[in-house]
Amino acid sequence: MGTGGRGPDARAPGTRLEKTVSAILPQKVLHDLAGLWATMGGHADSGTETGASAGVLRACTMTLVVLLDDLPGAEAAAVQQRAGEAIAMVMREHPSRTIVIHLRPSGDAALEAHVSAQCWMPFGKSQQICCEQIDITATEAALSDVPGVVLPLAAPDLPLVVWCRPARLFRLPAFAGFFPLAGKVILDSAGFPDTGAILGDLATAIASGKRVCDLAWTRLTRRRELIAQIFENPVYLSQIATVTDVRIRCTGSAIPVSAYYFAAWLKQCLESGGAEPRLQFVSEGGEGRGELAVVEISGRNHVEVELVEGAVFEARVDTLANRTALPVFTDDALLREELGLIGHDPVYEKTVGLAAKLASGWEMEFH
Amino acid sequence: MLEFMPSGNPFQDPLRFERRVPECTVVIFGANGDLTKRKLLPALYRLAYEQRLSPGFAVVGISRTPMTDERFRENMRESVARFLEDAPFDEEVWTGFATGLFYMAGDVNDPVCYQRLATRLRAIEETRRTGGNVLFYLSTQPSQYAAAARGIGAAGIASGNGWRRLVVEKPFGHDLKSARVLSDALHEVFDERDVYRIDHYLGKETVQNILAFRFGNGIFEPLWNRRYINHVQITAAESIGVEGRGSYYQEAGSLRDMIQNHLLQVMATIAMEPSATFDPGAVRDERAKLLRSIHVMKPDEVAANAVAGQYGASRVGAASVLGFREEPGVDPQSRTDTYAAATFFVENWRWAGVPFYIRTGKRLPKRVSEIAIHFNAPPHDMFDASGDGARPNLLIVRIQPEEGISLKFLSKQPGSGMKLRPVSMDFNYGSSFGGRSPSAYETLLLDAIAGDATLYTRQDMVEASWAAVEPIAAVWSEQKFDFPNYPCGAWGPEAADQMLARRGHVWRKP
Repeated sequence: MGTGGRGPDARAPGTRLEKTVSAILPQKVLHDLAGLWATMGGHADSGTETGASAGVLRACTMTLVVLLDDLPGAEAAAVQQRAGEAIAMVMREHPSRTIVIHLRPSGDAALEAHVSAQCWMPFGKSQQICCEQIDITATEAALSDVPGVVLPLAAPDLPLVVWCRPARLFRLPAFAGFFPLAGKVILDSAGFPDTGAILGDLATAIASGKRVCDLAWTRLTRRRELIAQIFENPVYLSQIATVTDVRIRCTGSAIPVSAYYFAAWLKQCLESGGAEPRLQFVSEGGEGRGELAVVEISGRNHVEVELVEGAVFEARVDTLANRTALPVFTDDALLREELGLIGHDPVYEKTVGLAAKLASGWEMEFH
Repeated sequence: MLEFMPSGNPFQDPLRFERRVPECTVVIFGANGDLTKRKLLPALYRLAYEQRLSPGFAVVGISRTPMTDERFRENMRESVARFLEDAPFDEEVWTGFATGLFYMAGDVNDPVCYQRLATRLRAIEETRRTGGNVLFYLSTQPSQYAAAARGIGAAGIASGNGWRRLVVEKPFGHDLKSARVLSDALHEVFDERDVYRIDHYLGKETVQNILAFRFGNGIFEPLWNRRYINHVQITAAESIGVEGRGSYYQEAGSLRDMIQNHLLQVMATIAMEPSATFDPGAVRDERAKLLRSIHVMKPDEVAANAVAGQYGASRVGAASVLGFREEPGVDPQSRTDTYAAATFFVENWRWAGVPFYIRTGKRLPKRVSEIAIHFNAPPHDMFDASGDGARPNLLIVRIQPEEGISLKFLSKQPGSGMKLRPVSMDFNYGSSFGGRSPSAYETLLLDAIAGDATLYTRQDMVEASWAAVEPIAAVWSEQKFDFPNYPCGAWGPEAADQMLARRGHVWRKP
């Protein structure tokens, strides 16, 4: 707490100061938050030898609402912890008032709240930067009540983003209440069992004007960028119209959502460049829903981008090859990218509709 | 600063993809100097760390010292590890980056140097596929700029398969005439559009943010004129002295070293008209227009509107500090200004009658660069119960050390009665955007490689700045000063306070 975190800005989560409130009365929650800041200011002064301090700085650029499953068991606890760490890391670039909704599967339709502050000290600085966090525990039965609780707690005049960590919640009717509040909804469809269904829901939401994004798409940014860089070469750019085939090779026996996204994106880009490519999904073996492994674009030139090991990709164009180590896609890295884009994302919005169509009628070929 | 350069590539996603710059070779003349070690290589390394540079990016360092490529790489590794700011040094990234570093010993006055450079560039173009793009960076003495440009031209490397650009550092001449002579020499070889005059102040996030602040928000611009702004103070203060560079500094002085370039550019950014578009030409046109609107002082106006100072020995804290004339390499009778302050007026409808006070100096109480915009007092003060008088509202744009913007206004003190006290509303770059801001050189180098000249100074801007400063320099060159006239640790000479006091103003103490 207070100045205990002095030192370089390491990846450890920041210090916390906490207070529990017994019921969700928004005014009381906000009052307790205000009290928390007053206490922190006092602790910051007394925590130094000289009594003079650089103080604490309250920073807020948005309200981030995070929906998490609150399940028993070590695995669930680890998931929660990773989410907590991601939130703490994201605060450094996107300081916000975070409202974490911990959803229990069963129990009375009850709500409880708990306020805290996350603090860290930027590299080379002496002043702590702190963001507010409100933790609300609720049962799924109370999910439809949550937007009404969140609304008065949101930081005024700033964007509100909802991170729906369990993607299944997105499909629940009770989730609809979040859309009027949210400038953006973020989910991750990667682990969702029914790829076609989740892509269909995403496409429908976007077609109706809602701003939704999918971390499964975000994970593809650097890989897409590799393809785009290849075609920055005017020689290859001029040959786009000669592309006849796009082959998406995946591990596993079921096509992952990332493959549908990549295929849809490629198809649209190539068609806008005058090509009419045939699309093919190919399994490289293995069970279950695997990963996107290799993307091949064939025309007068042959382009391949392959994940060779870890996060190292090899881009091959005809006989030339180049390896690039891409950043590891942690939750906080993906979130940071999405939180930096609060407006419309025309490329994604155009891609998801076609991805949903591909998912509804495509089968994997096995070689 | 264009966020993305459109290329007709249907795969581009400007919202998500980092702006990458094309392959190129950066040739640094004077590669063994301080600027390369402290600023250029750390900036280029950082760009490589963030994968903003193409895989084939190359650097050729040139200086007179004989050295192998390996030795140069080792030296640069030490410098980067030492001078990298607010960012980690990654050995693996460095290893990859260093494969693109090369070195050539050579003298800028020797034609053979450029012929050898031409051969080297051809080889690098082949192996690293730079597309023939070359950025020539003159990190040499300004007196060598013309020779370097002519050498590049004579060797036939001012043009080639790709683009060729030239970056020069200030000073751009030492007066208007020499600035024109230098420009003419550069133009013998390079078009003006390929000449990039660096002013690293323009690369600072806060200075760039002035444009976003003024023209991205609707609430400030209606107040941004003589009806609401009383005066503007621009301060660039250093607490250090000349730090061993006395012999260089005494040729320049504060007026030439800071006001003629950085601070007038900052003033132009604060005072310019909004451009119709945010493209380099349009923005620079407005800056140039503002600079041309500055009233050029007549000789008899200089005494009342410009103050020169030189620091004398004193004690700062518990330590004795040398005066400028006692610094190593400095003439004991030196008349160089280590402090300069001037009052400028902009002759246009927006700013007529509003003084712009600019001051800069060494051995001032603290290191701070800021712009303080003083608004007019309310037309009727109904709260002057304390007798303090109405304090003006202030908008402070802090350039360094803590970048940010503050708005100071009066608020009621809690309790009975109506006592007012000033309070501050702060926006701090470091906390509102927790991510790291790029250094000025990272921004500027990336822009030069990308061909974006928005943050670079154009020849007409250089000439207009010299025109504003020359009358002061001319009068001072004939004047007998009673130097030193301020002690180390003071905010400058009394004459600077008197300059403002004549208009009823007071220098802000940041």
